[in-house]
Amino acid sequence: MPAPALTIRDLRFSYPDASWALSVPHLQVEAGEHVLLVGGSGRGKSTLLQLVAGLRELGSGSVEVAGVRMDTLRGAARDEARGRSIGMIFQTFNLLHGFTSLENVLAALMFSSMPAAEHEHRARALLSTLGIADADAEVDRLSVGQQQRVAVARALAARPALVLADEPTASLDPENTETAMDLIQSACRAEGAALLCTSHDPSMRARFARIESIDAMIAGAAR
Amino acid sequence: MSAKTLTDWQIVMRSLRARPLSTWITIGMVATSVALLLVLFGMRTAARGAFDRGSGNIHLLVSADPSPLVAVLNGIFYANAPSKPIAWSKYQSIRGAFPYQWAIPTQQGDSYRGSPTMATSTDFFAKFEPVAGEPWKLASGKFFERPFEIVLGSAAAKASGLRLGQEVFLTHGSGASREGSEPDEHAGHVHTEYPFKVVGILEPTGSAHDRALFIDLESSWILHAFDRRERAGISGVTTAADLEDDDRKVTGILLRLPTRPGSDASAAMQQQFDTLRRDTAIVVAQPAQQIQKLFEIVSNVDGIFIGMAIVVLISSSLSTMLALYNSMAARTRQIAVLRVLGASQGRVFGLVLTESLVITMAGALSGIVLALLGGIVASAWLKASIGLVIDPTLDPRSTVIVLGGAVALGGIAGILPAWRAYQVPVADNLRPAA
Repeated sequence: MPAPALTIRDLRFSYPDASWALSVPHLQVEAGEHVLLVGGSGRGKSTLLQLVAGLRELGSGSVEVAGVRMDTLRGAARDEARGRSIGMIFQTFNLLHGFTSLENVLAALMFSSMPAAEHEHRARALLSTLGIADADAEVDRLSVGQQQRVAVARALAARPALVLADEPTASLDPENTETAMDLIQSACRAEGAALLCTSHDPSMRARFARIESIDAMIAGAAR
Repeated sequence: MSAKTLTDWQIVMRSLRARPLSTWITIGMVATSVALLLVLFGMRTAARGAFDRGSGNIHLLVSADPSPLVAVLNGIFYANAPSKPIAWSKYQSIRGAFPYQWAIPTQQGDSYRGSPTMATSTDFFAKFEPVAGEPWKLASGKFFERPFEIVLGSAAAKASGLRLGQEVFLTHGSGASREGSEPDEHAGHVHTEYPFKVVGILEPTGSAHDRALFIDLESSWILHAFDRRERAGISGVTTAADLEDDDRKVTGILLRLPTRPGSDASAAMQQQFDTLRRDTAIVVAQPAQQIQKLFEIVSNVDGIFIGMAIVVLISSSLSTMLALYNSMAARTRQIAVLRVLGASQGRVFGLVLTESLVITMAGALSGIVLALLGGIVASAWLKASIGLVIDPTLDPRSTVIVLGGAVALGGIAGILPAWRAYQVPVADNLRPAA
């Protein structure tokens, strides 16, 4: 049985001014499982994803991604682990401007454990599967929908165990939200990646079998 | 065909291409400062080389000038006509006192259209080499063989436009009178009584001799005897038969001491130098030593120029630093994304540092090309205009030092922007723009 994609134990985090705190006693996402993390804007959903990705330091507790303790790794080792095990999708995609779709996906593979000889084939295949016909076009020339497809392809390129999607549909209308989430979830399923997706959109609840609330986590920290 | 990958190098180049104006301006500044520095180094070397040319295979120069340095400047570089002559008997006495390889008498003081003339013996062309190992070569004609024949240096020939077979009249002194024009009151006396026939034109030597005209010593003595006799009220043509001891004067003696085969140095140099110095009526100079002294005198000015060029190079490095540092504000998101994808802080630091080095290296290499092209143009112009031969190639040692210095400065200039990239807070820079 594969290791869980994510295991959080006794995570506590607070900003330096102590005005805000986050507590997660236990959260586990199984391999290939899709979990929706809900809560109002500014409640710390993005912060939790950043803690999972090792982009912020925990106050205490542990974060384990695909069997690797992210919180104990430091510097380049943590960056390397993130590049291999975690893919991230952002609300505004955060693509590398001035680079092509292919290069954006290759950028993720640069830091993966995949042999360099396989990079192009993997990137082109993924982009093709996600409906990007011209992989060599600069991303600045693509439509918003196509840019999102490139962002999804980049997140999945290194075959991560866990994909963290931070409000991926916040700037989309309902119709495009459906399309985008279909794309993200189907791509994650196809690649066997677990998905931890944040959203403050109530309509997203129907798409996920499991829903966790950030508000409950903050309340737990306050007690 | 190999599979495509994305490399750090491609990211660096893409980043530079993303802001072409800033990149090209910075490269241009580095190129200009490197070229300036190389040209200054090159000019210093070239000037030294130009001064080294001319004294050729002379070991010692004897004259009656006030100092050895003035003797070299006048006797080899034609700065001025020597003010005091040496009697022919003194020349004979010096020549007879030691077994020199050769002792060539010279006399300066006359001119043609502002170009100095040097009266000398046929040994001047047969034994003296203006550049050691490079004997005189004729572009056309022959060397003078008898009185009233004249041989032109290459620059003098070009400036005067004279051709073989033409006749010229020399001016006593270095006045501005011209053949075929009316002498003015400030000009020296033009010896229209004695035409000189152009019999030879020399190849360029890259030395000051290219500016001179060369005549037989006896011709010069006859001109001066004519003046003496005219002042005494004796009319008629003056010939060699009319020469008196007082007419037979020289202004310099070029000496070469005995040497071992294959060697240019002479073991007798110091001893003979000291012996000649005891004669207070003359000065004796070792040309190489005097040229060294001259360069020591001007080295402070030289140092100021080099210092200014180094300041320009440092300024261009500061520009590189500012251009990169300012670009960081617009690139924090890109850096944050690379970090999310797995790039370490050290790798991001290296990417920005590499950008600085690429800019500096491109600038430095462009600067070398610029300096080479500038050198070729300048040397062609100097050769065409004043007959000065300057090697347009760059001194490898100076080039390596300047290139190394520029790249080192580029590396230092990249540290601050790279440190800023190193410290980019990833999480804060992934948020949607407000």
